[in-house]
Amino acid sequence: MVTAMSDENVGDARPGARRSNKQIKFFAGGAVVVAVILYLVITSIQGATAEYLTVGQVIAQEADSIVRVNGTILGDTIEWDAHNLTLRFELSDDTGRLPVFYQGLRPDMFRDGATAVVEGKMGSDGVFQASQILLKCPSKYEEKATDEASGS
Amino acid sequence: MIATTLGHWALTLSLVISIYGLVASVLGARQRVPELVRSGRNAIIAVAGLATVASACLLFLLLTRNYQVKYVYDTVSSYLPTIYVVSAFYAGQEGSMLLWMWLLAIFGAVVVVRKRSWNEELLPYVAAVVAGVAAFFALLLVNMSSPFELLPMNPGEGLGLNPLLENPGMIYHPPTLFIGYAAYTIPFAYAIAALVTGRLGSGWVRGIRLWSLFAWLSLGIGILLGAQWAYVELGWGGYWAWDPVENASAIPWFVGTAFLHSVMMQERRGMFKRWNIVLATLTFVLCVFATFVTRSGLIQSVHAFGQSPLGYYFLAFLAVVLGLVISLMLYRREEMLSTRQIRAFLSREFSLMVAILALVGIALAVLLGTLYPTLAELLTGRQISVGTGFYSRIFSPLGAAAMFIIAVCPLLAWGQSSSRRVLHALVIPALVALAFGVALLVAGVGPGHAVFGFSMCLFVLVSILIEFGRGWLARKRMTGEPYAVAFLRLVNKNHRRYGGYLVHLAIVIMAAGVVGSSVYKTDTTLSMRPGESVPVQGYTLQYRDFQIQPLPAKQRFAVTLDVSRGNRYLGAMVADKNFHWNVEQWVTEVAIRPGLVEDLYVILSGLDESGLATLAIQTHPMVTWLWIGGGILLFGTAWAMWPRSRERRSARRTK
Repeated sequence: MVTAMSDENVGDARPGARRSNKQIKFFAGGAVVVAVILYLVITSIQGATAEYLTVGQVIAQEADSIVRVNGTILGDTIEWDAHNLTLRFELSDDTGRLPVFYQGLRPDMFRDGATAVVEGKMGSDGVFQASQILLKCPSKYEEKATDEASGS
Repeated sequence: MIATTLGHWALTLSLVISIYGLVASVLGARQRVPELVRSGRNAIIAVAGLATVASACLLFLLLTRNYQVKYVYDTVSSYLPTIYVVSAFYAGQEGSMLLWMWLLAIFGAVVVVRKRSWNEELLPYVAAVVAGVAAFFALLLVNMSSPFELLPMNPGEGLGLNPLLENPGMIYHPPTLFIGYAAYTIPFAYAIAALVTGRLGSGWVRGIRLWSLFAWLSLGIGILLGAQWAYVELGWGGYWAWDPVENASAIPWFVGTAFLHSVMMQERRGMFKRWNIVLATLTFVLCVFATFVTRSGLIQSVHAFGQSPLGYYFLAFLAVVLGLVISLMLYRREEMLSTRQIRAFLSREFSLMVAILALVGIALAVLLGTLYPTLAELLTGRQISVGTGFYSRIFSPLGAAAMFIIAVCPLLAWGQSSSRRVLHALVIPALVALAFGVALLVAGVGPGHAVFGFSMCLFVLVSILIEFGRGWLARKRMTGEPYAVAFLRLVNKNHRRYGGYLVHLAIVIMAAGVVGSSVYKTDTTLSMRPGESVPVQGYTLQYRDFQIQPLPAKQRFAVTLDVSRGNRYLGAMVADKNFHWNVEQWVTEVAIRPGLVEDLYVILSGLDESGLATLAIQTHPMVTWLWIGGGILLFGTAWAMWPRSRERRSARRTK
């Protein structure tokens, strides 16, 4: 509101008037904004999605893309080294067992039988290198129902 | 069980009466029967009373810990401190819906009681919409998610609240959000009323100004309180994780922000009438969506649809609302044409249009990211997830653009601005920001995009301060008042403008906080034995002692660290980790040492009997700026809402 407002400017008050050619450029300006946002969304979402695979699919796959695997933690395979902060365990589902390695803190709800989602890449040694472990916690309050630990 | 019966009947009756209120209001207004209109209005007041009774019943059952009531059994236990019994009210889906309905009925009653000459024609339809929405919630509460459902027998003890919710933040965060959600029903109701009556001029916009500001403020503060809760209580080391529940509350806030601005276009220029209807509807629908998402887990998985009919109720509600709005908009399409048109790129109108498009774009992008996994699963059958990278890639450029618009838009005049004038006004902020950016780069502060972000924030900050200063000096010169008096009279003369500037200032401060905390966050994980000391990020942490102690509700694990920086001792930090017996769940109580520059944040991850502790030591720069910005936001919005003395007088006269 730098300048005083000339509120009743009768000249351009044309209710129901057809859009003049002059207006088109402003709509084009708006369209450019919309197009930029759309472009951002489309290009960003492509690089940011990770597919959920089964254990069998992870073991079978060739490409080393970042994937997520859903499975159950096998309690007797957990090896937690509190000194070096390394966590080794096996994740299982109907299709097999997957050895996982994770460097970082042991998540609170990490125990036998817990359902976990690990995100990461398959290593050449056949051990899945997890960058993130998400645990589904049995909470009735669904908000923030996942305990998250992310590798740094 | 008098309280359950009473509560149940209060809800049933409120369902019947809200349906009656809807019918009476519409019929009364159509047939011009003032008695029916009055009766419809009274129905809203009655529903507000009944919802109050039902809420009081639930609160009573919770406080008396009547475990035979399923909702009480689910959320309360005898270990739970009484103060958190209040937060148990809205810890579950049923209680949340009751809170929603109660707030809505109260707001509706306030609206219909405050009858004025300018809203007389609109009011019956406003009442009808409020009654309709209240009926929807009452139907859900009576039919499928009643908080008064009984268990076959009294189990004697409850499951108790999730210990994560035992935090002061959880007392304020959900109700503040819900106030925002419910209050957005009023602008929507006015939008429908304007469409039905064809009075699409400035009347309905006037009716909703305070309501939309109030709803926007509550929503914003609610989101911030949630972020603070996550930061302090959840203990994963952050305030925002882009999870569906957080996103669901942020989406209506962005659309609501766009709505606040597009309303200005209609008030001042008679433009954007369609936009206002669309944005009012969209904000409201997204608020309802957020409520459903939070409590029903609908977007976590498509399977939730199969398990609970709630999703179908929501879709039906959505279909009714959108169908109604679209058909009314088609019916009134002639009346919604603008009386003015945009005349120049360098105008308040065009820059507001860009701002509105950007805000809606951000909201829709977040919505897409949130729904993408569900949609992909529905369409392809494959499960995918969207990483947080998506949101940061969207937010960095759009946030910077939004900052630029905040700086430029207030400088532009309605109609047309001269480019020389605008450039002139931007020279100083641009030079200051540029000098600052170069200084940071020379000093070796990187990376480039963070420096750009900070410079952008400074650019906006300086341009707002110059706007303030210019008005202040002009007034001082003109009136000869002392500086302090001139300042107070200036900001008092135009509450909306200076309140708005303050809000912009708050947004800039928060934006700087977001840039700082997301770019410079550090995280060091390590293990320590008692007596050891480690250097982390310029601090020295010395492990003093540890504690493993059984308490009635939990097993407590704690370590005490002495923190110093250089030779200066800063104090002790105690990081806890508790195992709660009732839910068999770990809850981490992080230790935080807040500061303007950065917070030191210590998470205890593990502790064994020998005292070997595994810790995450994190620094979170500039997080405090978010909370400071939130305070300014609150004050600025309140200032913008506060009526000037002249308005107060005229309001009394028209009473």
